[in-house]
Amino acid sequence: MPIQDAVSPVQKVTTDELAKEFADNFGIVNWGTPGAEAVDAIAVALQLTNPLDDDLLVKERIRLTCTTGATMKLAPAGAGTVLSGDDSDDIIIETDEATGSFDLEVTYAGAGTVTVVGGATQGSGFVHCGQSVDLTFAGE
Amino acid sequence: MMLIKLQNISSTTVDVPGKGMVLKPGATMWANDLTADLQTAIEGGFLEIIDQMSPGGEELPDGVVTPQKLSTALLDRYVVVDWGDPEVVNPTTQRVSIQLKNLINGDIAAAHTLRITCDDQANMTVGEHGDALSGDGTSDLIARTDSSGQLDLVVTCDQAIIVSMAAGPTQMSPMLDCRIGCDVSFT
Repeated sequence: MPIQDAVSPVQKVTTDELAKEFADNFGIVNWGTPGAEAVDAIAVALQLTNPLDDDLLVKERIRLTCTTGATMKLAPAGAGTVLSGDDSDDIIIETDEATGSFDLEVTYAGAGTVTVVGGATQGSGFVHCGQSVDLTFAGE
Repeated sequence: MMLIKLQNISSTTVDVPGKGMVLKPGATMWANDLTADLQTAIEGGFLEIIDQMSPGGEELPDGVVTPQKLSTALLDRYVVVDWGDPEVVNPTTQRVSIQLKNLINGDIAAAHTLRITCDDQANMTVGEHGDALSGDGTSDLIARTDSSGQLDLVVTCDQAIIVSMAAGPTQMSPMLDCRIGCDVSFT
């Protein structure tokens, strides 16, 4: 058995071993399940988690862009704040500090799929935005 | 120096090589280096590394990873933007510095690229430390810290307002934490 194997419990670091206060430095953007379409609008929640998959209860600034022709805003009575670009296809949002979430409402008059992607922007922390969300509009 | 804690995981008393001591089953000892004899005992299944001591002397149980356990090279990959206190130069001009920090509040001595934006009623230029890459003299600046990780900004505003400033990532930026901004008061 080589020494590398003998000391592997100390040398190999896994995500599960991260201390919570360390893991909380890193935010991951997760999308919930989109709601049903109503009056050309679909609601979907963005939730931050840390690398341990725990909800990350922080205020984080994220730029959201979506397919041209659709617009985005905060859902009625939803959590979070729109900082700029309200009702457009390019907005900067702030998650709710108490929940780490943002309740998004996307409006699109036509039929088709609208894709929403997040990204880091001015004032962002260490945030991973590798997951997007597709919203299917029937164009009723 | 990183101390390691070893435990006798065998069912017999172990004569610790080169240490002039024995360890009963389950007993532990600290060592400040992994000698060839200790390595042999580990490989033989008699001893196991169960803990380590951080450089600061605080005991850290194995399996809990904190920023203090990261090497400097790894720590410096996570760059936190830290703002100093604004200094008044004259009624319409103030100076404020950015220092890049790591996750344990140590300075990162490296040149990195940032985007700095502020209220469009103000404008920014780069001062003594750092370089402007684009937008010098505007409210949307791309700049690089100097090799000490410092960027000096000179903010000019002729309105009686509080100018909010934000940093963010752009092309060529490292992983950045820019959650903290800076307010410069011209009121």
